[in-house]
Amino acid sequence: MSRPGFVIETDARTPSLLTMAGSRLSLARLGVGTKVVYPAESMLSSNPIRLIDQALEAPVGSEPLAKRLQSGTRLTVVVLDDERPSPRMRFDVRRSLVERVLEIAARGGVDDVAIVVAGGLGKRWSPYDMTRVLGDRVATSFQPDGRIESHDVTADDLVPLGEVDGHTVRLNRRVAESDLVVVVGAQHGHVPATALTGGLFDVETHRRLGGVSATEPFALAVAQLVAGSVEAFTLRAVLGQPYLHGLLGFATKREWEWGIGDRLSFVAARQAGALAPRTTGRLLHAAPHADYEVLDVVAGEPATANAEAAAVWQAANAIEVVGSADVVVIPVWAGSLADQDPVGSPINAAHEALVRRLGSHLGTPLLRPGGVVIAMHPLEARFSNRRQSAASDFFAKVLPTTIDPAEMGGFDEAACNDEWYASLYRKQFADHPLRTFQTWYRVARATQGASDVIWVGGNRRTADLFGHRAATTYGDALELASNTVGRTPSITVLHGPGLPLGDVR
Amino acid sequence: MSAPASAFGAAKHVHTPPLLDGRLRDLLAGRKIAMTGVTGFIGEQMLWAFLRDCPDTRTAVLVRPKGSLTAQDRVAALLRKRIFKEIVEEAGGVEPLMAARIEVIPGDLPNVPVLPRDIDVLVHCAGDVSFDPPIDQAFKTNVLGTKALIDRFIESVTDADGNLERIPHYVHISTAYTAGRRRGPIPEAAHTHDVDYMAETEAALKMAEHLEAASRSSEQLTALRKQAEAIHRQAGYLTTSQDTERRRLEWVKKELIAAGTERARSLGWTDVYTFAKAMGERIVVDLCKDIRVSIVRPAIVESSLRYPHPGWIEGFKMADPIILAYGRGQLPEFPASPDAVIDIIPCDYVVNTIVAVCATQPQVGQCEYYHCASGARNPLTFRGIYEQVRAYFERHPYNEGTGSTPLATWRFPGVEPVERMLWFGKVATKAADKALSFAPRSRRVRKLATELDRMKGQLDFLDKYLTIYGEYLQSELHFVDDCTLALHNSLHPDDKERFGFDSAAYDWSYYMQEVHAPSICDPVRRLEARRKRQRNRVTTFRDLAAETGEPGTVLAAFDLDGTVMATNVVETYLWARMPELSGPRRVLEAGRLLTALPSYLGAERRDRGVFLRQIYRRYEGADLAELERYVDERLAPLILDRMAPDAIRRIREHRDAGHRTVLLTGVIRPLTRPFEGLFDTIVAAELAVDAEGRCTGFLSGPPMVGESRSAWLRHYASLHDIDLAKSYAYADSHVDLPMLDAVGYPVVVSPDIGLMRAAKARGWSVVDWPALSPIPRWKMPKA
Repeated sequence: MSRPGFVIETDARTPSLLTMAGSRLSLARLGVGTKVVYPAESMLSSNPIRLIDQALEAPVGSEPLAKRLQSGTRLTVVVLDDERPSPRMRFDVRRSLVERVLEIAARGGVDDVAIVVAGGLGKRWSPYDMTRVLGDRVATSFQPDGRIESHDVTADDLVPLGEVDGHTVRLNRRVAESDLVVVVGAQHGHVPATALTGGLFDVETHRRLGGVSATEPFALAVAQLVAGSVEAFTLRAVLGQPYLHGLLGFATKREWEWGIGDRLSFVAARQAGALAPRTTGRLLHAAPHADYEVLDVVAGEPATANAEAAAVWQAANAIEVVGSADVVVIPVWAGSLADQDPVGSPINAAHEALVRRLGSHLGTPLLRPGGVVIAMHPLEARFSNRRQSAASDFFAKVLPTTIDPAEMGGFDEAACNDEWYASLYRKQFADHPLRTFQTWYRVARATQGASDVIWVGGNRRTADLFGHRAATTYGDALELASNTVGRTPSITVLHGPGLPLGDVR
Repeated sequence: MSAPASAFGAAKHVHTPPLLDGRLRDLLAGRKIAMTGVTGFIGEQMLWAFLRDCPDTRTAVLVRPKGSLTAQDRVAALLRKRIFKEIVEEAGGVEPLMAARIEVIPGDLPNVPVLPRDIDVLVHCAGDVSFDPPIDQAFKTNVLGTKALIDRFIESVTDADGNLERIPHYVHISTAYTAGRRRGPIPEAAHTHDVDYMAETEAALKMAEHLEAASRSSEQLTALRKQAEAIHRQAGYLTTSQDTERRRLEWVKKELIAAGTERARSLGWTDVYTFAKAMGERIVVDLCKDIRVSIVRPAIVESSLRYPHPGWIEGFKMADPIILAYGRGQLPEFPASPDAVIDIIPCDYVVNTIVAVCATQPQVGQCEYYHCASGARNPLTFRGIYEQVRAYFERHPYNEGTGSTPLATWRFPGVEPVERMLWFGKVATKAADKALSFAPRSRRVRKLATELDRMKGQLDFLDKYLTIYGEYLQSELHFVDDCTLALHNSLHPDDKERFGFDSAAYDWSYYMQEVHAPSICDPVRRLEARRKRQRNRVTTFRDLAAETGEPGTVLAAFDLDGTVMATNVVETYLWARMPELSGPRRVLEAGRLLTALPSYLGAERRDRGVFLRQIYRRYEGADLAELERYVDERLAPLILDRMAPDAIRRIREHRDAGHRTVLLTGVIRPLTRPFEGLFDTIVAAELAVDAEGRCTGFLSGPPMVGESRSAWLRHYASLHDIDLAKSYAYADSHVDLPMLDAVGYPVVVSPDIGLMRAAKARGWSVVDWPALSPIPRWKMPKA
């Protein structure tokens, strides 16, 4: 069992603390009295088979999986991929989960098995991704017959499930026509997954679910509609904090516990970054892998099991923080953003900082209303033409026109009907264009409570486009923030690269 | 300084010209004065003076129809100029004014029409304004033109029996510099020389025929073609041939100018302009034996001192380019003699002299000469001009803000150091130009090339200026103006203010600083400000959202390599071919390619088509279907990530605007597969395959390069009802010039130096579309 997370209040004797912004590393002394939130200690991953078996034998709110499978059952394993931990898992736990389910199915004599990847609006999986996540064994036995598919939100053959609020909800054909759907996923965050609503619908439903006027009742009604028409069973692994290997190993350890090796690797990584920023960024920070300890595996009836998985994660990761702060400081490390991108797109960086990290709390926000967020990321406006074409256009055309989600309806509809985006989504494994918009909607919603967002070391033009501000140094950012929060604000720093959960009291 | 005229003391013998005995308006009342050259600088003000201040004088103007404009149109346009506004209003409009006071005679020199029979005075002030016209043109206007005009004039006053009906007055406007390379005082009299003007004229015309023939000789044409090829070879034969023909015409003109200058110098004149003018004077004297005749010789005519308003000027005169260049900080030093007298005379003084001369009655057969010059009694030296101009620019800097430049202090080192500087400058810019042509394409190289071009432009300007005007900046003569002064003194006291022309009567500081320098600098300042605004506005790169053309009638053609995608055929070859080969063969292939690279680069400089064919030979033996599959699965990500995001955005904007998007490329077809969603039509090189589907290494047709692209576009447009004038093209290298020329809105994308120069000359937009891939260039994305 790992040591829990904690908060330290810096004083004169506190050592310099690590910040990772984009692909830049630094050790800095924070002002006296700053609260630094450390996530729970990260551990090496262990073999989860025992936990999986236990969960499958004693599922919550359901019979054991083996009992629900007969030889004629039409079984579909749905691999949830709309929320996945970053950095990427070195040993993807979903592979173990899928393999175990398939073994049980094989034992039960089930022939008709297929795997559907539910990525929502995110990029679809290429054959390479399938092999990487699910392993050679699964990929080679399912791929040739076309029994693994990555859900296509734009597909023509989606099945209408029924109407909610005058809107027809369509679902993936294979899933809709299955006798049993086993949903496999990993819990890394405090929000419970909403089973299948995670991403097996058509574009229009996704638009309604994640749009500006999305409402809780609508989402609930959709979830109920799905629950009523699809027989589902959830299998969910709860993950601990990321554990980094190799040169970056020091990043997931506490600074005062660094050994000589950690210190040397920090200096090496920092100096390499200063000498050759792009190469170092790509080699070290673009696509790092991390180990995740599997805390528990939960199985059973979707709603109950998902809630339990979230509760387990919360229990393991919650850190008591005293009071909402005037200023919350959030370094955004490139490694926790997109794959193969040493810096990360600015929109994803904003999402990581303002939605994922700032929003990681148990009800009482980390930031007091009207407080200031200081985030750290270069916000370089570089986009991949293939993966982020829509984000690039969003940046060049939509943001200069408006930053208000309420005014973007026309743009997001046009983007959904765009043939080029559609072809990139289908053939080139790009994100669906709607994803960029919905990411921005969430960012905009998350910043409503803050009076200002200041990016340290951020590109000024990008920050300006976001309606945020940019500062060269942390000191300058505090100087800017002092207009709103005064000279002696209370400051909370979220220490990376793990994801701390604030239990603000 | 003391005036040259004062050195001679009081004269004992002075030639007295015919003087005036009344007000000019009365003396000229009832007369009809015909004029040539009213569309020119002096002529325009002369017409203005007659119309405004001699109300009882009728005028006739000989004007050449120009293009679709008739002579009447041109006069009407002239009268709409601001200086005529009051006169036109008084007459109740342009047409009534023309009907009442101006008889328009359409005609040309030397093809002069029959002149009306009631002309009392004919003022001939038409002529070349250029100091270096081709020799035949100089003689045609100044000798043959003058002869034809006088013949027609005498014919108009001669009866059927060949007797003069009355004796008219012919006033010839020449130039003071007909004195040529003489030195010291130049009297107001015929110059002494014994040159046979008819023989010179015939020789000049023969020279033109000879040079035209010589320019068509095979040696000459070969030399010119090679020059054209050095620049345009890649663009294709038609572009080269157009440039060759342009160079031929330019060569003929240059040789004719050189022939003129050398002939003039061999006989004692500075240039063919003054030489031909001197011949013109001689023919006037010879032909006008039986009528009254006067010759007015102005020196350097610059802006008016008082009338029609201070500073009135049309166009640039001799001193003006230097004044401007000095103000712009482009002339660090100048090779003039500081004490050379620059004989400037305000335009209104010249016009006043002409009006007064028109009112005189010289003796028949005795030609009167008048110098309009300031050098004799109110000399202005080159150093004087320099000081005045410097003082003006100190108070009114030409360049302001971040464009400011220090004003040069001239030390007048003489001709040699400046010529040496010019020579070094030329050699250095040429060497730099050559070096840049080998430099890799980048923004910095383009900036260097722009700076180099600017420097070359300044050197060329100085060189040309010195060639044309150099002698005038060394001149050591002064024009005696006793007759002109006598004429001025005989003006009626009431005319002295309006029609005075005593060149000693004004102050140079006032004229240079308050009148002349502002009159030439202010319009240029305004023009440049407007140009700057226009430059900031993009020209051919237009906002497509504002486009309102009918959908389907507009196309947008794109080049691929370097424009839409940051890669080249060698690199794509390696990406496409390597995976098919085994490890050792890969190394072998890469090695072979590396050794062949210099020869490829050479081919690329000569002819892109040849280069592409050489590269594509390497595809021999590749399986086409396999290649296509490989492109779809593995290369598509790579290719897409090499594309410039701005390019993709622009292509998509064209589609949204309802335009047809066309990709014209020399790249092989399989590599264009990832773009299929972006373009309506893709024209690419097709690899020929054998029966087993393996590439033969040949193409099934010639690659689409250079002029074949423009031809393709034209044909495509004609088949699909597309309006090329409203269409767009995007390309990056000089080879694509024909394609860009074919459409109305060509846009140049991160161009090479050749295309950048062409784009600047044509006013096309230059944009930069960097590829901002987050993935390094040599890394193959996994998925």
